[in-house]
Formats: sequence, C-alpha cells, structure tokens
Amino acid sequence: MKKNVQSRGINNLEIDKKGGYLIVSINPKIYPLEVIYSAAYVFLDKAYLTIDGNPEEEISVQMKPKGKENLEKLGMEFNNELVNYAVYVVQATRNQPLRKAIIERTLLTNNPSEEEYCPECGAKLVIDPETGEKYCPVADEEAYAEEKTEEPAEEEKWEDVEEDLDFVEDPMGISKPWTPPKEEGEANEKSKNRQKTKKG
Amino acid sequence: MKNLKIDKKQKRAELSLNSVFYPEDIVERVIKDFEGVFDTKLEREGGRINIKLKLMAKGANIEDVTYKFINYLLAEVKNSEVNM
Repeated sequence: MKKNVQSRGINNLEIDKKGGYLIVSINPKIYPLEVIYSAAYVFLDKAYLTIDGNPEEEISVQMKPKGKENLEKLGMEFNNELVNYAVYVVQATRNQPLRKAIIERTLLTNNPSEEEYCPECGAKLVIDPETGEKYCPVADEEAYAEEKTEEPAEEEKWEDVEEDLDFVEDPMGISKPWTPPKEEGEANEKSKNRQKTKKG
Repeated sequence: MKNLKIDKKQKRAELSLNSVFYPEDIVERVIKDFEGVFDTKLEREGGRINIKLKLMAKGANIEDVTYKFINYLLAEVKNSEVNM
C-alpha cells in the first residue's frame, strides 16, 4: 500500500516518500495556468516535473527532485515561486497601458514620416518635452539671441550694480585696503625726506 | 510519478499526459527531436495522450532519459506560449 504523507504546515503538498516525489495541488482560479508554467519552468534544473489535473478545478504538479533534496522544502519553494509569478503577472497587467504609451511615444518620436518642418526657415520642428508641443529651434535661438543682445538702459545698469552691492557682506573687513602700521620716527623721517626732494 | 511507468528490464516507459497542458503538436515535435533515442508510439484517449517509449540508445538509462524527455517537453510547451 502506498503511503502518502500530507505536509503538516501546508495542505497543498502531497508527499510520496517511497516514490520519491511530491504533488502540489493548485487552485487555477488563484494561480492561472501561465503562472504555473512559469513557476515550473524555474524548477526544471532542480526537479523533473509534469502537470496534470483539471484546468477548471484543480491543477496538480508532480515533482521528482534530481538530487537528494528535501521534498517538503522543494514543495514550499514551488509555492513561493507561484506567488512570485502571480505578483509579476498582476503588476504586468497593471503597467500594460503605461508600457504601451511609452512604446507608442518612442516609435512616434523616431518615425521620419511624422517629422514636421518649419514653414518659415525649413528647420525640423522639435517636441518640447514639458509641453509636448512642436516648435522651431532656429526661431527659438534667434529670439534668445535678440534678448541677449538688447543692452539695458544706463539707469537699469546702475540699479543692477546697487542691487549687487547690497548683497556683498564683509563681516571680516576684507574689502578695506590694509597697510601695516608705521612707527612714528620712521614716518617723520620719510615725510621730511619727501619735503626735501620737493624743494630741491 | 503517478502518470509514468518505467520498466527498467524491458527498457520501456509509458507516459500519460493531459492534452490541455501538453498540446499534441508540441508532443509530436518533441518525439521527433528524440527520434534516435526512443522508438515511440502515440495514442490518444479522450483528453489524454499516452506515449509508449522504447529505449533504442545502448548504454543509456531509461529512467534518466525519460525524465529528460518529460522536462524537455515541459520547456517546449512553456516556450511555445508567446505571452508567458
């Protein structure tokens, strides 16, 4: 008589120690077939696997380890892999519209047939990444150059300087010119010499 | 395994597969890939595919080769699905 041992902690594992294999029972409503295939695929290098059962009610995966691996541990690892792929599928489904939008945008950006040119100068229009609107880079550069070349009025210039000066703080007194203190005798002699040279 | 019977003396194996999980065209393709290894007989019974394998290659272990056949088949089934 074949002895089947049900794993104590997890009730979807049926272990056959004599046969050296285990059966993992899976609810296809929780884990779709694509998730089961993906999880099984990961275990191909660890165990020999077959899938059986009813795809509407219960799917069973039979696993026979290639080495001397613990059957219960193998089954629990398979359960973890099921959860892993289920999460992946859910996330992929959620992100699908976003991925589609990114790919569409990428393809449209690099499609030469969609390129438009400036009617005035003939330059290729560029898409503004912030607004998504197309603009002529040449006209934009010219406008920028004009802005730059316009010199501000004299009054505006001085206002700017004053504003700049307001910001200069000099708590250490660095901006003041510094001369070393002179001794009184030396200073008098020097001033006398200067006076002499002037007279002479 | 419940769906696999191996006769080591006769170097024969019998494998029963659910055709929902293992599409027939892929099973046939995999059998072709193992042409020089096994002499194969394929039978269809309801929703199941029964494969009878007789090892042709000398010196090979029927158990090892059969299990490799099973895993190769599963890998092919998985890879045939575009969205997986």
